[in-house]
Amino acid sequence: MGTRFLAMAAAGLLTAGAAWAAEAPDQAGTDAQFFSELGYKDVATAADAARALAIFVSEGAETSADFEAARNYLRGKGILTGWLEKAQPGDSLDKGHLASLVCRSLGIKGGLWMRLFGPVPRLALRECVYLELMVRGAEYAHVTGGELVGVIDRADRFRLAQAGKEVPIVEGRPSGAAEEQK
Amino acid sequence: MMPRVTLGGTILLAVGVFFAAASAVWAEAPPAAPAAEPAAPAPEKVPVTAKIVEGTVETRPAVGQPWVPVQVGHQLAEGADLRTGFRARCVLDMVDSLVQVEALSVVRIGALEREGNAIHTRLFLKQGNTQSIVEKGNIESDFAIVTPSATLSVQGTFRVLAGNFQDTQSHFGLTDQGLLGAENGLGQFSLLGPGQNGSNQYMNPIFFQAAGLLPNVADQFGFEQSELLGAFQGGVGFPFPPGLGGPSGPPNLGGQAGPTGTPLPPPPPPPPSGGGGCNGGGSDGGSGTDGYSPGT
Repeated sequence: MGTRFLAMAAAGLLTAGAAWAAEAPDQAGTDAQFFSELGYKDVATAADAARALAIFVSEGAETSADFEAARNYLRGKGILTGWLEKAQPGDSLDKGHLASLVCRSLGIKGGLWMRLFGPVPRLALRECVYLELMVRGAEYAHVTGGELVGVIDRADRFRLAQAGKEVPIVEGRPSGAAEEQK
Repeated sequence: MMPRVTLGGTILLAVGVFFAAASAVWAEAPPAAPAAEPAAPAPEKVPVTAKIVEGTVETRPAVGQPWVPVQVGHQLAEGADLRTGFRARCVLDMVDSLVQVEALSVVRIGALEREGNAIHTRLFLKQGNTQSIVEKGNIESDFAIVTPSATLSVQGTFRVLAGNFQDTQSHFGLTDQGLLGAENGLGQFSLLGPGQNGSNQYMNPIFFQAAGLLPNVADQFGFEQSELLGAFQGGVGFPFPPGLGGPSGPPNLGGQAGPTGTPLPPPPPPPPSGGGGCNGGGSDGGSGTDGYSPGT
């Protein structure tokens, strides 16, 4: 009786574990899910910033939801700043540190002071505002999820423009156009 | 005395007869109206077809339904949501228009119905960018893109750009022929011609200037009313409140992921004495910030 009970319990645990493991990748979600849900967040976190920047830098290839994996990827690219190196996943992101990360990601040199002191948050934010990548504000102001999505979108357009490319322009005619010619 | 009573009675009788006749005519009028007009055809729901899909594009038929990937030829019904990933795009054929939903966007097909020769289209743009080609010919287009802060109606337009992000708010432009109408939540309306761009900055010019000249709000996610309005009260410096990233370090607000996450922590109790505490004095308010009454 005891052996049968133990076997049933083990089978149940194995089944539950297998189901959980199978569902784990879905919890990470696609990049579309990540960015759409990010738009609803009142405050973006360090984990959001790391994942969004990993997607941005890898041009959509690195979509892992794991904070450490995203940080390792950014560290490998030489983008990780001191703040993101030390931050906990739930720490709130502010504009200055986001600007610093964006400047490092895009290789923005900035003006005289930024060339001297590097992309420190205050100078990086001013540079990002000048390049119309971010809206102005205090460097210690929190970044909303929607703002982070907007910054990633504009940074990608900026990178495309630097490379002489642009977002494809919609061409063609709608299906109802044939009715017009009747 | 008698003649006066008779006269009064006569007047009353005349007035009564007049109202009786008028009410009889009025009562007969409604049945006559429908007979004069032909019955309007019922609106017919038209599906949206995905013509081009690049990158991660997902849709769900309604709120609460699972998201599924979109393939070319996929038909979306009214009420469907669409979201795109990084460097993704999806071109939707909406009978009288082609709409390209660009990367990092979230849109909902609010309405797409055909009533006679008219196509009624409403596209809700939660975030992201769109490009639209609207053809106006024999089909009568009633096309509008609705964002949280502005509505863009197309009036004989050919190519329209519209975008909305939380930081930049709504922006839209007309790159070709036509005419564009934009209306914000206050009902203020503006027309844009070819080559013109607009945004949702339809605010009082004094507030618009004040927002540009006065110090920015130190943190728009301050918990207290005084923290939210402090920067607009006299243009004085705004000390950053402790506990929100000041000397005591940033708060840990992780996991408050909107609809699926845990809610924000409750606001701290108000200060024991009167006054906002953040910038002292200056509680004249009047900043025009929606949803917050000035002064406490």
